[in-house]
Order: sequence, then structure tokens, then C-alpha cells
Amino acid sequence: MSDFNQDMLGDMAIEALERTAFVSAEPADSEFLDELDQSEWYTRIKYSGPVSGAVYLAGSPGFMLGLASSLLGVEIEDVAIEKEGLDALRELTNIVGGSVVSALGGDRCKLSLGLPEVVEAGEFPSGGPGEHCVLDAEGERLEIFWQPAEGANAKAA
Amino acid sequence: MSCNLLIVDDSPILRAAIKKVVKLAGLEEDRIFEAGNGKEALELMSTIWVDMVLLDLNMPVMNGEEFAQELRKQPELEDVAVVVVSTESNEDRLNRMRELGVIEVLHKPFEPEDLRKIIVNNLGVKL
Repeated sequence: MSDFNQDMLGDMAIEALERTAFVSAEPADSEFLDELDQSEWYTRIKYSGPVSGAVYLAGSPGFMLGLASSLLGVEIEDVAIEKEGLDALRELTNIVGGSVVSALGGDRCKLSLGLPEVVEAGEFPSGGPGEHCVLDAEGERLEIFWQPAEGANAKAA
Repeated sequence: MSCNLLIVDDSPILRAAIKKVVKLAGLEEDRIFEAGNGKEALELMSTIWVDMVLLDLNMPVMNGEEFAQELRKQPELEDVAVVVVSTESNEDRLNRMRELGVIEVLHKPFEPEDLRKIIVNNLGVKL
């Protein structure tokens, strides 16, 4: 796949949210981005093979609580961001990362996905090569950044 | 229904989400078991009979492929149905899993209905 873009990245996250957690989301309106709470929690999953790179996710506290609450089927008050919230964001990262790898690798995928991990805010890409999108997930912010390794071709062999 | 199902995934929250789907589909809660990796799963399977394993691949300690290899070394467990539920798309790895006897591969994110169909079709039961 040579035309991997921002819209596709967003669609993958939207599908993962809807199918796995029954959380609806849509691309955030750029004019109203400031109305969404800022992201405070960050995760990453790396992939390797003929090409390599990473997928980062970042969520606002409200997003983390809502995601974990939906996945577990419990009230938000019963969710701790540092525990269930981060576990939920890691799993979402795993799923979105898998979708990215599948899209990059195609039917005869030779790419391997690593394990999702929590990272510091400073590790979330602030620019450079790749694609970035912001979703409005039921009023909460979810950011996704796909970052190919430097010099890597986005198209897998 | 009286089938035992084992969810093997290192993510507690995903195990809970899958369990929720399986329960909604009609499987009794006390028939659903969980393990956080392949090693834990094998230990559990030495004490209880399991009809179907829903298996993640990328896990610490013992991953899904290592688990399937160990499972096939045990003739008494050859009838256990193993379904991969994973984000994995590496063709070589999925082929190796099929060679190890995996009957289905369900890619995350999946529709709950897809999981229900797999259980019904492969265990020959109606949920």
C-alpha cells in the first residue's frame, strides 16, 4: 500500500473503537480542537520487517476512562486511569497497530508487530514523516500518529 | 451449554471484553476461564478440560505460537479447538499457526457476531 494517509489512519482507529469498545468517534473538527481536553497518556507499538516504524496513541483522561469503562462494562467511577485506563489504551494501540501493519504489508504481510508500551509525553512525535490525526471520541480526544522509521519506504516489499 | 472456553491474552481488559461478548452470546460464566499467557494456559489445562482456546499471539512469558507447539506435544489435548484472536497479520506466522492445528484466525478488531459464529460452528453448539 503506497498511499497510506491520515484518513485511513483515523478510520482504523474508529473501527477499532466501535468494534471493540462500542465507542463512537469521528475526525475532530480542526476549528474546535481546543475544545477537546489535551492528551495526557501516551502509548506506542513498534513494527519491523521489510520496513519498520511505530504507531503512537495519546488520549485525554476522559477518553481513557470512557474506553476502559466501555471495554469492561463498568461505571467510569470504578475505573482507574493508571490501571484499567492504560491497559485499555495499550490494547487499542495493539489493535490499531495491527491494522496499520496489515495495510502496509498487504495480503502477504511479512511485518511483525511488537508489544504495546506506555511512553512519556515527550516521545510522542510532534512532527516529521508520517501521518497524524485527532479524533473526537464522544467528546474526548484521541490522537494517532503513524511514524515510519527514518528513510523507510512506506510500502512493504 | 456445557462447553469450557479458555481466553488466553496478556491484556486483562481485553480478556474482560471478550468474556463479556461470550457471556452475552450465552455461555455460562463459570465455563469461561482466563490465562495471561501460554504458560498459565497450559497449567490451567492440566487441571480442567477445555473445549476451545481463544488465543492471542503476542504475549510475554510464553507467546501463542509457543503455546500451540506445546499443546500439540500432548496427545490428550489434540481435540482442543484453538482459535487465534490477534492483531497478527504476518503471513508466515499465521501459516505456522495453521500447521500447528489452529482452526480459525479472528483478526482484532472483530465483530462480536464473528466470535459467536466461530464458537457455534466449531463446537457444534447453539449459543
